[in-house]
This record gives sequence, structure tokens and C-alpha cells, in this order.
Amino acid sequence: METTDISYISMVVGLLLMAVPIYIFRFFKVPLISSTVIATVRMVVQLFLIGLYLKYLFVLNSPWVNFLWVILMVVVASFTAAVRTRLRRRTILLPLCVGLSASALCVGLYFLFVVLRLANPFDARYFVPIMGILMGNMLTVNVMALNTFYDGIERERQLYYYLLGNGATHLEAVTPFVRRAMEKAFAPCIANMAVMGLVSLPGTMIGQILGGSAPGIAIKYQMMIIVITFSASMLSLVITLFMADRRSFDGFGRLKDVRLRN
Amino acid sequence: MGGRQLFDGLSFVVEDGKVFCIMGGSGCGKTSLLRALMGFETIGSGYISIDGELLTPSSAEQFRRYMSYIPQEPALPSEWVRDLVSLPFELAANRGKPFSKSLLFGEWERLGLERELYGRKVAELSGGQRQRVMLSVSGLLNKPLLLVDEPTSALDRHSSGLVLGYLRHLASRGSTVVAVSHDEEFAAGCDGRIVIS
Repeated sequence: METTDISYISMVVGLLLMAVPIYIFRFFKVPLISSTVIATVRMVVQLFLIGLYLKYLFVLNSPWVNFLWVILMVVVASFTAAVRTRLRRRTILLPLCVGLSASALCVGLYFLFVVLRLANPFDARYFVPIMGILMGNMLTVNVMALNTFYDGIERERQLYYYLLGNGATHLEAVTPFVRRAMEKAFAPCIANMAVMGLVSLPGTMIGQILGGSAPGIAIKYQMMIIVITFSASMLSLVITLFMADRRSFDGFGRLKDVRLRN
Repeated sequence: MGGRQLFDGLSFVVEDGKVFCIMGGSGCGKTSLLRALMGFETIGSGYISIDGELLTPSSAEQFRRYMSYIPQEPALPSEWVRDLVSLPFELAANRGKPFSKSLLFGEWERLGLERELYGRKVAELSGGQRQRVMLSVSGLLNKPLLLVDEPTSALDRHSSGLVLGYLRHLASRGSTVVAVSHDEEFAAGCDGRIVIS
């Protein structure tokens, strides 16, 4: 079954739909018009470039090139997360790089090696999209959790110091903030998982069905994608938080100046 | 402290089993000095020692196991009073400490608190009630060193007297109390004081 291509003219027609949210933003004077336009242009340019790159990546199909691609994704994701969390690069870049790469490789390779049992797990057709989807989800969860964690400690220093001043270890004193960060970052994933198939048809499944796969196979892949993204997100968050925490507090347990000022 | 100099040539000793008051006007650095005793503020030069041991990054956590601290306006996570009072007992350093409702109510009686507060929400408590509830928790923790910030700031004269009496009771049991206050009457009832100008 051949997937219907979208012509460039049709793409422009489709993009016209963006005029609706932009008009509504303008009507209510929501200051998101320029960032929406910039994000849309970036998305179009980036995806076209990725499309071109992936074309060659799939033709080459070299494990080394695929690995390099994953490393590039990790670096870009780490820089993006650093900007979105306003944390100093010297504090957060290394923890993010280690957290994202270790989790993507552990969980991704487990899926490719153990679950799918591929003859060549580094095949670009599997390796690149799996790593890509893991990276996207891990990035979202890490940004949300790191922001919640550091915002919480900054806003509620009194609680943090109250716990320390009553005998808490550093781990015990940061635990309420870690708990809240995890709740906030994972609650949307859990809510999404709970209604999957009922009120939302996920992207991976739709993509596979549009690409010609049988719905039965698409559903199995979708389930596995949910499981691996959830697990990898948690693993990466724990590694990143643990490493970032060691760089964020001094020997007395005081939070260092880790946030960039506006 | 915090990038500016608050004190110069400040030196004092707090004796075991005494109630000691750090006095001074608003913004003079009383709270910073109290926080420095736990390692939460940097001292530019000099030292802080407890039982002859220097307070350093490597000793701070160990020292704090033997401390209890009550900030002036504690921003606490618990919605209910019953959760608030049990929170410090969940920490590994305090797990051996006995905690029960009857023990707590015994402390509350000394502090003029009514039992019915136990089932209330923390937000329903007045500032003075909240401070006294926290104080009762520190009393049950029974640590060798109690650091308390403005324990009578939200209290009337009668309740201030109860709090001072309670702190003296803790001191007679062996705890050393360091309190920050701007209340002359409270300071007059303490065993020693330092005035920061």
C-alpha cells in the first residue's frame, strides 16, 4: 500500500491552518505570535534538512554514522534543555549529556536487541527513529522536572533549610522537591497513557499505519514506544538530577548560584 | 555574609543547658547569625565550633543531626497539622525519637495549645499557634541544641511567657537553646544574650 505524498503546494495550503491560532493569539493579545511564527519556520526548515540528512543516513546505513547522529542529538538536546531551564551550562550540560546518552543507549538497545531481536540493531531504519523518539521525550521530561526542582528549592528554601536544620541528610532535604518534580513531569505522560487509543491516537501508530503497516503491528510498536520512552525518561531524569545535584550545592548543603539571571 | 559584611570582631560562647538570646533591631543580621550556626551562611573569617569541634562542610551534616531549628515563618509542605508534627520524625536522624499524640499533647499543654488543633489544617492556625506547634515538635525531638528564630514575634504577653517557660524547661532537660529575638522582655528572661547593633 503506497502512502499518498503531499505536494509542496499542498504543504503550503496545510500550513495556512497556522493562521487560525495566530489570529486568536492576536485577538486576545497573547504575546506568543512571534515565537509561534519563528517556531513554525524553524520546524519547517529543520524537518526539511533532517529529511535530506536521513535520506543519506538510510542510504549509508553505517553504525558509526548512526552513532554520530545520536551523539549530535544528545548534544543539541542538552544545550536546548540548558537554555530552557536557565541553568548554568557548567552545572547542567555534563549531567544532561550523560543522562540522555546513557538512558537512550541502555533502554534503546534493550528494545532493539532484546525485544525486537534484530539481526542488525544499528540499522538506521530502527536505530535512528527509536533514539530520536527517546531523545524527544527525555528532553521534555528533563526540562519540566529540572525547572520544577530548582524553582521549588529557590521558592521554598525555608522548607529545605528547616529539614536540614532538623537533622535531614541532603538527600532527605531535597526529596520533597524531587518528588514534586517527578509528579509534575510524569503526570502528563501517565494521563496520556491512560487514555491512549480512546481519546488520542499516538503519532508512532499513525505514522506506521500511514506507512503501510498492519494496525496490529502498529499497535504493538506503539505500546513498546510508550514503555521505552517512559522508562528512558525516568532513567535519564534520575541520572541528570543526581549529577546536577552534586554540582548545585556546596559542602554545607547551600544551593549555589546555578540559575542564569534575566 | 551573603556578600556583605554584617559583623566584625563578634565572639560569644553559649553554655550548655542555657537559653541564650541574640538580640538586635530589624535587618541587623540576627537571623543570618543563627543560620551561620548551621552552616547556612558563610562567615568571611573566624570560626564556629560546637563542643570543641569546628563547623566545616564535612562536619555540618553530622552536627545538624543533634540540632533542631525553627525558622521564623516556616513554609511547610503539610496541609494538616498532624502531618506537620510528624514530618521531622520521618527523618533517619530522628527515627529513634519517641512520638505519639499523648506525648505531643503533653507539650501542647505547657505551651497553651488546645488538642483540637491536631485535626486542623495548617493554614487555619495563627502565626503564634504555628510557632508553638513547631516548638512542641522540637521539644519532642529533644536535641542537644535548639535554634529558634523569633519564637515570640507573633505572640501576646501571656503566650510569650509560656514560650519562654517552655524554652527554660527544655534547657533544664539538657538542651542548649539559642533564640533570635527583638523582644526585650523575652531577652531579659534568658540566661545570656548578645546584642547586635
